[in-house]
Amino acid sequence: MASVSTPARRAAAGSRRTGFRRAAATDRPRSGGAGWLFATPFLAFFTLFLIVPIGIGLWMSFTDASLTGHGDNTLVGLDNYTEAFGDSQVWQTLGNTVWFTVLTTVPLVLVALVMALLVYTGMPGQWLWRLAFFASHLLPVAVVYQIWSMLFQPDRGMLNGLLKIFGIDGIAWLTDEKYAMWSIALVTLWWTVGFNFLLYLAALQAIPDHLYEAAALDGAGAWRRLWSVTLPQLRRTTGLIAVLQVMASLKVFDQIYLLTKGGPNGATRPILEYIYDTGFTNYRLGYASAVSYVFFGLIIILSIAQLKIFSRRED
Amino acid sequence: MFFDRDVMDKAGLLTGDGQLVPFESPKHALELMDKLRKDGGKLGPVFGHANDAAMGWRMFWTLFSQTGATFDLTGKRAEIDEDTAVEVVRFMADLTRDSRTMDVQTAIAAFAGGRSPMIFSGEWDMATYKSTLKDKLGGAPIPTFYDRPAGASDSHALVLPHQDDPDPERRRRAHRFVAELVRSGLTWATAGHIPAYTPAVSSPQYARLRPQSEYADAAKQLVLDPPVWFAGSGSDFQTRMCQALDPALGGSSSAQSAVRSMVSQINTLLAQPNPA
Repeated sequence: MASVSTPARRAAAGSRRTGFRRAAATDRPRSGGAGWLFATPFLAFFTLFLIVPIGIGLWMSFTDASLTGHGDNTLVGLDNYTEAFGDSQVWQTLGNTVWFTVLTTVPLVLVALVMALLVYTGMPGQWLWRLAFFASHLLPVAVVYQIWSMLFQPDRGMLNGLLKIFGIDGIAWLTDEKYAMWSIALVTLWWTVGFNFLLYLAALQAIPDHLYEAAALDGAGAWRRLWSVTLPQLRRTTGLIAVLQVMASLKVFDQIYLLTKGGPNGATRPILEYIYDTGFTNYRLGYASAVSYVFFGLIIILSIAQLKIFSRRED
Repeated sequence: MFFDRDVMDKAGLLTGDGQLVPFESPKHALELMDKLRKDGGKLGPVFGHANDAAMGWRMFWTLFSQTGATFDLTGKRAEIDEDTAVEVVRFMADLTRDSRTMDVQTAIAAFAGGRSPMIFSGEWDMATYKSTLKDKLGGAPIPTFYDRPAGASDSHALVLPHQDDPDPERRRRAHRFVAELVRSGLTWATAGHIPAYTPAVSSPQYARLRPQSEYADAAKQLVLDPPVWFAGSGSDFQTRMCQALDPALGGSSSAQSAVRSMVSQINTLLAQPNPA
């Protein structure tokens, strides 16, 4: 009991900062009620369209819910989860998803960085490059699909046409198991690199000029300044881009669904397509929910790990 | 299937009355296709399948059904005559070897643009062919390559949603509306589909529709997907079958591995509880 601090002792301990505290207390807006009022529309939508579906989905994952309405939504306990862990399709599609994430995250960080550096370090016509590099990001996925399915077309597509000029045999870009995922990664790089490019460009513009001036005074050349000023200053942005990119890549669905539907032979089928097919074309909503929760759990673990790694590096 | 009358005639693949000559066996068909390539001076038959979620399976199911071999999905595990399946896949790849990597649009372009005189495709594409080939366009039910006629098919269906307490008057009107649609089969037929309403098919107006009336008998040799909960148009099953077949048709893997993959996918689906 002796260790319990008395109000007097606490007051004494905090006396140095009481002045600040009082100031903070008076500055704090009193009208907490109005704040809630402003937040209500958002909270209502947030609850209705995120919290509630997440809850329903979780509940469904413990039932045999069917899209046909035939099942009586009986609770099946952990059956769906047991099935998911033993389902080779889950592992295969998860593997595809991870492979896609690796294939896209690395170039989407590096290429975006290179593009931003090139534009920032004074290529003439900055606005044109900025527009050109970002433009593809503005396209809807259906347009991206149309453009690339034409480019990839093995018999009359432009890519194979170009290869032909150099006497190289055409490649079955999307129908050969060896190339399909690489082709999709290429499309994704082209489509989404603009966003990361923009983040990098903004970060580059935020680096204070005096750092470069000081480095130049110390006799640092262009490469030295890049390695010792620019890149360290971009570390935080790189961390952010990497985290965002891994999450975006793990959630891949649309471009694959449009370009290959997961083929050939399941080589590009991501886990989200498996979840979609299971729930909506094979009617097994309960099982599909379970698989999606397994995946959800994995994303959460991965994101936390990533954030930990990057925040530790910054310290 | 559709063909260019002029080129087919030149290669001797049409009878005196403009009908397709019968194919006695897969081997005979391949010989005739070689003749078509030689005498027609163009590609052989084309078939669009790459990355499509239905065509590969439709063709396989057509040819396999023509053999009459076992394809039984009623048990816990599939009972499929795999040797015949491998033979069928090999024949498919041989028959359509000029369109290894063609997707549906490319095959359509090859045929409608005159690069190939023969295409295996559905009647829904008829109007496109008609617009370029005009009167040269001929049609026929898919030929019988094996023992008996068969063609993978499906039909459009109108679904009236279930209602717990329907108003009899409104229900009657809904039925009338559907009946009216079905009776207008002739309009439907001008776009290529074979009407389900038999008086429309046997009408003299339909006989004048060409090439529609030439392939109308396809309705007499139709085979539907295996009667399991996961099969049918637009199903994940058809997508998986097509994706298993594609590499074999494209030449990047063997017929055996395609069939092995198909059987294993089917067994995976059979092992799942029936949600319907």
